[in-house]
Amino acid sequence: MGGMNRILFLFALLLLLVGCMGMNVRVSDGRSDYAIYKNGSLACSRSDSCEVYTSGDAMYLEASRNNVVYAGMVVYRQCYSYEGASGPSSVAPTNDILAFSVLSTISLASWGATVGDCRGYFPSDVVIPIGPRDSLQANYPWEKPISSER
Amino acid sequence: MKIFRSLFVVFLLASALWAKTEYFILPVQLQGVHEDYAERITSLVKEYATIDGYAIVSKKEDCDYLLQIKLLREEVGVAVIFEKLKKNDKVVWSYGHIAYTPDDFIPIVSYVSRQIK
Repeated sequence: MGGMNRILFLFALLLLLVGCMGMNVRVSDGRSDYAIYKNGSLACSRSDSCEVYTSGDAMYLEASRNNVVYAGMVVYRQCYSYEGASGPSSVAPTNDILAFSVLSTISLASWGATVGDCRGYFPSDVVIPIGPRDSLQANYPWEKPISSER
Repeated sequence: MKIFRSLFVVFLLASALWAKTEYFILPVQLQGVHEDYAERITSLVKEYATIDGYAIVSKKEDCDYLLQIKLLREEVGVAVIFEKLKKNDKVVWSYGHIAYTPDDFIPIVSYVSRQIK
């Protein structure tokens, strides 16, 4: 019986540790001079060797340079209650700066309600996409008047 | 007499609660960006001020805070920088976000507006 308890204890410990694993974060343009923020707090001062410790069911990652935010993305842990999730986790790149406040609300609400259902892994590597969502919008002619917009 | 005094205090507190924060927008600082975009972002700020319940005033002396907007050309887009300043030009809050196209002005202004209201 003591052996059974020990196995159950180790299993519970393993489940807890799943929530504290590291995740490599990079940026899509390969630069090293972005600071990486996790849920609004500085996680790495450089973007070339950034390992972020995972926590909760979702995280908001942001790449920032010279105090200017360049891109953000939400990374989710897989929850068994999610339908249609094909991989072990889902990643949602976004430039929407409102995502952070929404995410905070979702995380707080889900922490109490569904923490037992979310035992999946975060991805081990994440790339924050820098640049416009539509590549046709790259090199926008900012120096020209609005009337000559593409 | 005591009732009138109490009512006066309540009135003062209520008016302080209802008072809107007033901002004066300083001329937009531009670097490598056409001045049309200064006009566009200024009008967006005015629009969101109405939504979020603060006021943009036309006279500097009437404001509680100054709002400095900077549009600075970067390699991949434009850095949109907002600074909230006291009348003595001391920066009390700032925020910067890249805009890859003018469409990105909307979420940036929306976020800033909710922060400074």
